[in-house]
Amino acid sequence: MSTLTGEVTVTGFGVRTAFGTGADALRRGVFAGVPSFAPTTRFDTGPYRTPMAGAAPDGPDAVEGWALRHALARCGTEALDMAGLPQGTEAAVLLGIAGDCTSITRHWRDAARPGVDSDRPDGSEGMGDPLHARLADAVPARLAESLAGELRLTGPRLTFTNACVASAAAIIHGCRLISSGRIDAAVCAGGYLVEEETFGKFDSGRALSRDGMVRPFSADRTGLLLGDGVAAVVLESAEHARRRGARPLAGVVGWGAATDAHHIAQPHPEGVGLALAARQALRLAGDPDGADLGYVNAHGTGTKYNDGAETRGLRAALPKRAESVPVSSTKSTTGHLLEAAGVVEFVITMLALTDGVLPPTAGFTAPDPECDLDYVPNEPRPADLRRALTINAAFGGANTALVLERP
Amino acid sequence: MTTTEKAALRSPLAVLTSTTATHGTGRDGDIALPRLPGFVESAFSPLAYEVAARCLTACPGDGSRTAVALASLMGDTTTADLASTRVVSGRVHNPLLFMQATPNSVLGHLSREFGITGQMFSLSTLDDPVTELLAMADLLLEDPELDRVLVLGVELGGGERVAAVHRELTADDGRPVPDLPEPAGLAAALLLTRPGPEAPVTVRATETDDSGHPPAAPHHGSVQGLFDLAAAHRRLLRDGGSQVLAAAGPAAAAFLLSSERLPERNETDTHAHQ
Repeated sequence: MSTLTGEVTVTGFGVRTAFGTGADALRRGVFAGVPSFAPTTRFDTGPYRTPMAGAAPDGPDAVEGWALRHALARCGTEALDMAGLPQGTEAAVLLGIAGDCTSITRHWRDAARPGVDSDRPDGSEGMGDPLHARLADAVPARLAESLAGELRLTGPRLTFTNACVASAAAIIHGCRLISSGRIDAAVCAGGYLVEEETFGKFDSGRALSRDGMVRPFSADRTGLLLGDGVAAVVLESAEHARRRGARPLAGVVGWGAATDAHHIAQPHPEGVGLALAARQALRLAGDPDGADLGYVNAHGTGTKYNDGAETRGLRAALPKRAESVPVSSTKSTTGHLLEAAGVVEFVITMLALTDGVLPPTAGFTAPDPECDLDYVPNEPRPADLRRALTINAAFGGANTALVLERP
Repeated sequence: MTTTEKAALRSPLAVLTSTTATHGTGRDGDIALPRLPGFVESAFSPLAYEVAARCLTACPGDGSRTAVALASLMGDTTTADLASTRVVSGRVHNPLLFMQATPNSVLGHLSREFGITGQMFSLSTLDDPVTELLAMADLLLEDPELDRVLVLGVELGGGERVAAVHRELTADDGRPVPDLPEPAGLAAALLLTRPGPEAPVTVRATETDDSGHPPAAPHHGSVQGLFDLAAAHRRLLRDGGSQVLAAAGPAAAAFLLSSERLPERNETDTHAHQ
C-alpha cells in the first residue's frame, strides 16, 4: 500500500481539442456525443486510406499553423489562472509529449527542395515564423523547458515520451512527487496536434478507421482516428491548496501503472496490464473492489485489438462491479489524442464528476459479444458520481489508471 | 529530473549490476547490434535491449516488482528520419518503422522477454540523465510494490537534422555539439534497488565541492554520466572504497558511491564526470 503523506487535488485546468478551447467546448462536443471528425486540410491526405481526423477546422480559433509549444503555453496559462497560482511559483512542470513532429517533416521537405521553404514557397519567413515549430521543438524535453519558461515556473521539470500513456504518466509522477512531500504543486500537461508524420505512420499500420468514424466497443468498429488535444492540469497538495484558499476541483485518490509483458504494439488479449494498473489505483484509493466507482473513462480506441482486451481487463479489475459501472470512450468524439490522451481524458473525467453527466460512446451501432459492458451508447447520461476511473494504454503494453474523486 | 535543487535522493540506492555498450563509435569494445525481431535499421532499440538484457540476465528477479525507466534526448531519431524522408518523397510508410517509432516498443519487447509487468517509463532529458534516473528510481522504490528499478540511457549519433537540432539547442547555452557518427550509438544501464547484501555498492546524495570547478556541461543528450556511474560501480566492486560523482550541467547534483563489502581504501577520490 501507499506511503502517502499528502492528498493530491486538482485546482485548475486548460484544455483544447478539435471542439475548441475550454470546458464548454468539451460539453458541446464530447458530452453531447458529437464526433469532431472531418476531412483534414492540414496536409495532402491523398496518399492515405482516409482523410478523416478530429483536427480543429480553420477559423479564428484554429489550431492549424500553431506550434505545440504555443498551444501548451496557452493551456498552461489557463490552468494557472483557474488555480489562482501566480507565474513564478515553484511548481514542477511534467509533460507527456513526443516532440513537435512538424519540425521533422518541414526539415526534410525543405532539404528535398533547396532554397524553398515548404511553408513559404514564395521565400517569405518560414521556420523563423514564431507560430511555427522550431527544429529543436522535436526534442520533447525542450518543450517542457519552453512551457516552464512561458509560465515562469521554477520547480523541477520532467518529460515523459511513452506514447499514449505519456501525459497520464506525467500526472502519476506529479501525484507521487506531491503525495511524498517532495513538491507542493505541479503543472502536468500533454499535447498532440494532428500532423502528417504520425498520420502516415498510423495509416501504414492500418490502424485508421475505414468508415470515417470511431466506434469503440461497437461490433462494426474499424479503427481509430487521430485528433487534436492539448491540456494542462494543476495538481496541488491539499494542504497547499487550503493554505492559499484555492478551491479543489477534484481529488486524485489513486494511481497505478503496469505493463502487459506481451507484445511491442498489441495489448494483451486479456487486458492483463490494464487490470494490474487499475487494481493498483483502486488499492491506493482504499477501494479495492471499486465499490465507490460511478464511471470509467476507457482507453477505447475503436480497434479490434484494444476494445475486447480492455473489456476483459476491466472485468478482471472489477469482478464485482464491471457489469454495473458505466464505461465510455470519449475517443469516439475527440479521436485518439496520443500523448495527450491521458491529460485530456483526465479533464473529461473530472468534468463528468463535477457536472454529473457521463459522456457517451458515440458511433455505437451494434453490440459486440466480446464487449459486453455498459458503454453509455450515443447519448449522455445524468449520474451522481463520487469517484471515477480513467484508463490509458500504449504501445509496448504500457497501462495507466487514475482514480478521481469529487470534493 | 532537471531541478534547481541539489538534493536528488532521499534514501540510499544500491547497484545490483551495471553495463554499457557502444556500436559504431570506433571505441574499443564496439559491439555488433543484436537482432531483434520486428526492429529494423536503427541502433536505438537493439542497444537499449542489449544493456537492459545484460542487467536482467545477470540479476534475475521478480518482473512484477521491477520497474524500468529509459532516458534519451529525443528517442529513436534514426527511425524518425527514415519515416519522415519516406513521407516527403511520397513513398509508402514502412509499417515496421511505425511499430518501432516509440521507445515504448523496445520496452514492450523487453517486458515480454523478461516477464516484467511493473511500470515502464520513457523520458526525454536535455541534461545528463543520471540525476533524473536516480531520482526516478528513488521515488519508485518508495512504492512497496516495487523492489528494483532498471534505468537506462541511449544516445544515438545523428545525421543532418539531428545536427541542426543540436546547433539550435546550443545556440542558447553554448554547449558543445556531439560528434558521434550517424550510425553509432551508446547505451548504459544500471539495475537499482535499496541497499542490502546482494548489492554491495550504494549510491547516496552528497554535497558538491562548491570551492572547486563544477564539471563542464556535456552536449545535450549525452549519456557519459551513466557510463561514468557504471565504470565507478565496476571499480568499487573490484577495489572497494568510495567515490564522488558530480553530475554535470545545471542540476549540479553529486552522488557518493561506496562499496559496503570490500575493505575500503584509505582515500576517497573525487571524479567529476562530464
